[in-house]
Amino acid sequence: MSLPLLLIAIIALFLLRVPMAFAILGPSLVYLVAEDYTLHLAVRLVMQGINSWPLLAVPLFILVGTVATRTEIADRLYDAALLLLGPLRAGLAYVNIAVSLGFSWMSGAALADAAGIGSIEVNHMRKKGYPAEFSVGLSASSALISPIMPPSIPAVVYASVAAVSTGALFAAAIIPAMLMTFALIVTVFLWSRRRPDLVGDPYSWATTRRAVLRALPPIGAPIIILGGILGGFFTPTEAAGIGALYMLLLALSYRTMKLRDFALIFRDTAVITSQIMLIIGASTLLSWILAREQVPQTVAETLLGLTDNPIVFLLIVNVLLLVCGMLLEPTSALLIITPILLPVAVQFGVDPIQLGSIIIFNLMIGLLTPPMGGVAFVLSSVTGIPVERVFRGAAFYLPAMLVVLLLITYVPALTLWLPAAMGL
Amino acid sequence: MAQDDGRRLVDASEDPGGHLAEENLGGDSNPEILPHSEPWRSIVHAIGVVEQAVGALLLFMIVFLVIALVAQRYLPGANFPWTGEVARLSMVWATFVMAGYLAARDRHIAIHVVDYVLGGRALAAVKLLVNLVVLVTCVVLLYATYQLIESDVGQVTAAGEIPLRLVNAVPIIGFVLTALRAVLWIVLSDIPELTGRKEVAG
Repeated sequence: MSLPLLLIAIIALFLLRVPMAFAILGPSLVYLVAEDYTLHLAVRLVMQGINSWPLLAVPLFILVGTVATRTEIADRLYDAALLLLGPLRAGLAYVNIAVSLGFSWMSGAALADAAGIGSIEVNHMRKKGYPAEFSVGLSASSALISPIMPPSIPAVVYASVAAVSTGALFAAAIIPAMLMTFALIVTVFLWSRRRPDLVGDPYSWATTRRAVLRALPPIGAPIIILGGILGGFFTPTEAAGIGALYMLLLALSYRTMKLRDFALIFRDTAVITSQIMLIIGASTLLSWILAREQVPQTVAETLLGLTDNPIVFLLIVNVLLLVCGMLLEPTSALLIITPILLPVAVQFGVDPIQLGSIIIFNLMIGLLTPPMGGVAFVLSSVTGIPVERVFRGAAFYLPAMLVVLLLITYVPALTLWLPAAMGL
Repeated sequence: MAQDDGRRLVDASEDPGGHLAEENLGGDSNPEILPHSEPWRSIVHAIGVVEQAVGALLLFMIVFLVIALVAQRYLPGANFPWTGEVARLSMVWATFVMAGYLAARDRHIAIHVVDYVLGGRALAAVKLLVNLVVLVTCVVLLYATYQLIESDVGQVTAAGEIPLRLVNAVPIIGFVLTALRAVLWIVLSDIPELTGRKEVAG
């Protein structure tokens, strides 16, 4: 079975709604049979792909995010942001961004952010007269802060594939995530200048102070996780475990959770873990096939034949990644693309840490664009707004995202300064 | 792509045969595919409950073992070198054990664009194809796992000395239960939708 046929079969099955893991596994098994390999190689590679210590951080970070979503933590964050930023003109839009930023320190997945707080944000904004497309587009775009800001699940996966420090990748992502937040704030500010009707709510210091104090304890989770990793106390996996324990104890202290709720939190975490890990396992098999077919070498030769200019190379990489992000699920895309791009990027002098930030940022933008647009589909589902309108709404924020992407692509210091300053 | 959404799911009102049961253990939007005749309905439903319980338990084990690992470093005396290994294996097992649960509720990550483009019987035909692909893939993977177990020569894991035969056998559970759900979707949902028959054998 030829490689192009394999890839066409996989993409065709993707588009026919075959689960991603099976869409990769099915044709890959046919490939192994056609190439006279024993079939048990497939199972061994799939299991090897999942059985990884760095990847063990993934379910633990998912658990942190699930606790934040399932308990009143998200509500507390929302209340505090509402009272702090609500008085501004178009204040609810800033609240939307601020809540996503706060949530991003506890959750490493955009879909969790969109599903967890997306409907609250969008419904509230629509009730106050904000256009539906503007509101849902903002929720979709701000949800992307989660997978970029540490603890980021895509960063854990990239670090595992590229064999780089997860801590350094986490540190590298902080400035891009803050830049993205700032870009969204600027977009909202410029838009709100034409909407004087969106006046803010009255301000009350006493209520605000109470709400802010109520929202403070969850901030302990990112302090433990990032402080533990960057301070050298824990590995990322250990930090994720301690962070999960802290969140569980916090949820227990709220006294609103029953034993059944805890069982559901663990069940939900197992569900998301299985969804992601099956794709990781399947992608490991596909990566092995691509390596056997010398795809990384072919891509490297092709790119080196096209240009020897790092600026042009990075532009090509960005275009390729944006297209991949539109067509592939981010985790599988990360696992397939990273081994192909990393060696050639290093030849062009691109640091693997910076490349990781670029890859993750590009693939996350794909969560907002058709046909895949995972965040758009989830938001459409939880808000009842047709998905075409979610895509249109998100498109309004894409220029801001692309500006940030170009900045992190062509200004390496934005990603490399902080890890270096921290000695990572 | 959809991870948690249930946009095109058949709700209870569209399910006169009653083969799609509502979620029993929480807020999932996706209903579970179940036979509508007893005792099979109860048996398949019980399998789903066990899958959830085992998945949740394995996740709890991961948290416990990782915390135990950290504690070993900072507490004197404690030394259990197998904690990290068992935590990793728990993740592998949870992945496969939950695969059938995901299939039962159509919750595997997939691109759901066709749900918006196609309607009625065309979509049913696509779903039939999807479940056939999943079924065939599971059957081949079952054979591959059997080969893997057969090729084992009594090896054990490095730290916990768990027989590899046992470690490698767990995916079989996931493949069998996923295949079972694919068959149920085909027989109870896809074929009746294509043939226009609502009353189906359970």
